Amino acid sequence: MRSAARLRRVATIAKGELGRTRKQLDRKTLLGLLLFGVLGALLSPFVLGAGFDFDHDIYRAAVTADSPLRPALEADPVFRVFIVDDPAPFVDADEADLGVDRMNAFAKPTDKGKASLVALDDAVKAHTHLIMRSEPDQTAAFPVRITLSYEEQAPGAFGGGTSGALPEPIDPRAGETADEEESRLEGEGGDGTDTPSGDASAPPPSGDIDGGFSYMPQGDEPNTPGTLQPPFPFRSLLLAYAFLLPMNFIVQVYAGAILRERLGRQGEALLASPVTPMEILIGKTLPYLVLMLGISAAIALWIGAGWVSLVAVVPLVLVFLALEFIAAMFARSFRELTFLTVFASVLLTMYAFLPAAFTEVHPVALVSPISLIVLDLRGSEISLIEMLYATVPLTLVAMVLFLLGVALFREEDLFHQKPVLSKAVDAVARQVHGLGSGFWLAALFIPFVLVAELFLVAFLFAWPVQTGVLGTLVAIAFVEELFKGAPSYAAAQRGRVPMKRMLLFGALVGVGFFVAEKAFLFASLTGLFQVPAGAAVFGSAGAGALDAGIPWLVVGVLLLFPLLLHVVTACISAWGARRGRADFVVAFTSAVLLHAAYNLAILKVLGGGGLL
Amino acid sequence: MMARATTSHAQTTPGDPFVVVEGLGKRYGANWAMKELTFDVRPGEIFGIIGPNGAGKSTTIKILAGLIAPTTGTVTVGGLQVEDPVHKMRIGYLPEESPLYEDMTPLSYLRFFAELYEVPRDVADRRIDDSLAALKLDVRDEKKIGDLSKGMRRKVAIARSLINDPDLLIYDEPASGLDPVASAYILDLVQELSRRGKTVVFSAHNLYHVERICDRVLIVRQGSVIAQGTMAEIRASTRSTRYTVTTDVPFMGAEETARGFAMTVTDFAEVHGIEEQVKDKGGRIIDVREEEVSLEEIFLRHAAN
Repeated sequence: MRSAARLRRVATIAKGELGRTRKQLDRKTLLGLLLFGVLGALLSPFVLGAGFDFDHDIYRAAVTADSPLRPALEADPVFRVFIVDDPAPFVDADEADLGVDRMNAFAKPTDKGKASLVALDDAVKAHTHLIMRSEPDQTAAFPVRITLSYEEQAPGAFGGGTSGALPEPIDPRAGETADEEESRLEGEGGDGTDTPSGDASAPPPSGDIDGGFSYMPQGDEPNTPGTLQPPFPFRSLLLAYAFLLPMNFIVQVYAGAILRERLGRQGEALLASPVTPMEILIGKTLPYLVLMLGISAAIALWIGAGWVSLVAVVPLVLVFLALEFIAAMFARSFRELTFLTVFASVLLTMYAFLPAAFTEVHPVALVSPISLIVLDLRGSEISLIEMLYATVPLTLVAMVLFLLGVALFREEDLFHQKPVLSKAVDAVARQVHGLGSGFWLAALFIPFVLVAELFLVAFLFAWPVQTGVLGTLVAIAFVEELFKGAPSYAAAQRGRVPMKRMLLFGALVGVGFFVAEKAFLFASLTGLFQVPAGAAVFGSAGAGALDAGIPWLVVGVLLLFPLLLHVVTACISAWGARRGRADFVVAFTSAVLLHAAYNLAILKVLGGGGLL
Repeated sequence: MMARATTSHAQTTPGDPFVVVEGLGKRYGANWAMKELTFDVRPGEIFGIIGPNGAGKSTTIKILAGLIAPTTGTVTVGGLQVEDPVHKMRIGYLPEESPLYEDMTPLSYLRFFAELYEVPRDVADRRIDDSLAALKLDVRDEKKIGDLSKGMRRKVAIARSLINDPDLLIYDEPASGLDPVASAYILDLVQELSRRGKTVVFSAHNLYHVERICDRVLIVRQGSVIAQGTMAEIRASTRSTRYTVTTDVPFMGAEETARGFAMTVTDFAEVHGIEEQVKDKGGRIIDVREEEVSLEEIFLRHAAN
């Protein structure tokens, strides 16, 4: 009965919000947006089908009819070819950039002339390659064959590959050249039948949408080394961006609506009504959520993506809305909102697209749900674990953000101008209700910690090993201590607490953080911790020990160390928070340094010293 | 006609105060907006809260409406704590400034809130008709709220505060910024609502309004109670009745007037003192004139203090 009433109230608010938004957008704007969308939808298949081709008719080439280079020039679209009897006068008169007769190729000594000669060289190579490929005797055409195989990077086979302390790669062949593509001499005329899965010589998956960019040789087609490109799922990423593009516009309207109601105080009457802040939040968010999911479903249909892409979009939509909601709750003006929303948008786009560029190359890519979309578009199989790994952390982050934001849904925070930091502290402080909340708050922050750490892993894993690991150790310590210090600082701001009680609160923060962190053994599930940066992050947390086959009892004893660390550093921050802002800064810095030193020591003890 | 007010939800027994505020305090950071505020409001009473800017009137009003949580003290309305979710079903709140959703029409706006209060559509429509008629607002669905005048918007906001047929009306400056005609309408309506059993708590800057319609008044300054009670009680407690004593002989402190010698005092006991003085000199009191001080004067006197 009560739930039905709640649902009715949520529906009323959602209906009201939808009506108001519809009325606030004038018809011309809506028509313009609709036309823009239709135009995009009509043009995109052509663009995607034909690929991007900006290099037409760049150079004018005057060529004699009997020149042996004529077919190469005519086959290359960068050249606009004129058949002449004598090309020299045309080049001299600047009517052609390049002159080619039966014996010579020449150009004016200008930059464009020189570039046309380089382009001619490329055109001839490409044409020669084409001729060779059409030879009936391929063994004669390509006496030595090298089969190139792009494989997902095995745990341990990470960039740099110079350290003797690195774990052995799963595939022994991968050890030959650590950061290069695995290569294997098959000998003359090898047919490649024994190539592993993902072998470049095997036909690409039927749904390989990126095949058109020829980063992999197609089917059994041979390629010369010069034509090989590293794998980069450009087209899949481009298509995945189609999901994010409309979201950017919708969340602006959403954040604007929340802020307008705050600055205009229209929401005061709502607060005085029997509607709870959570009902207001859900009611106001629902129309935008449904709209974004509806558009995403339409885009999925349009680009031929499956249900996996749609599932992957859900956490992105949620976190996008949550970030914008928080921004609208924190902002004091529309100018400040613009800054915060752009910041949130850039942050989310980076988080989504940076790791996704390494899809099917490295497991780290799965920290982003966009990687799921890329895999889906490429027709690759996706396991449940991979799906959870890519979607759960962001979803939890969105939920916690909403929870923190809704804590500010009260007269004192909604309609009064407070600095952003003060509101952030308020949002956390509102969750403090006694000692036990230290435990729960720390646990609540774990998804943020996880996302921040995964982001760091994604950002740092391509760095040189030593710099990456050292940077990660400090950055991770900073992130973890920040989220452990925040509850204590917020609690101290709520009112004067005796030091003993504050230290007890800090200890509970440490325990809560430890327990929740251990609950997130995603890293162990995916083998992510075996990436050097990942090892620095999760290995020190003891998660790696489980994969290493160490007995549970020993693991239990080993876990006491991180527990002790979290409790001690959280207490240091709590001590500082109780004494005041300046002391908190000193205490927090000390906690970060202690944590980083601990991470370093553990890494050395566990045999990862070679990484440094 | 307006629907008859009921107090079916009230959990107080007859004679009990409807609103009980005890030791109320609200702190913002290191500053207390109010401290140790204690008062009560009887059922069907119009209770005015006055005080200079920053005295804590709006904070008190917002705590009563359940918008702000007090730092100390308790507030019960009809036996229910203001934190109780049912409380908001039983009150009608009108903020000092009442920004409305400007792109809605008055009718759609009032129906929107009626749905939130779970008022059935037919009942809501009847209440909307009654309220708009009583407020003499003839705009329903023809114009958007953004196109209405300030007075008309205020009337829509008042109609919203009545949509759930509340037991307690909490009005913050209900006639603020309105022309005298619109103000008079609103004050008449408040009195009418009180006659129909509604309890009204309202704050005002216009002391004439308070004096005109309030049964009892609370004067606050810097978050503390200065005086409270009926106007007569306040005058008595604040020595706000003046006595001008005229005698036929001079006495200490008296000024010579056309009728004799006069002096104004605020305590009736002083009149007896003067009588003793002039008797000793063989004279007598010719006249004692009682003069009531306006609420404004009382307020200004306290504000100056």
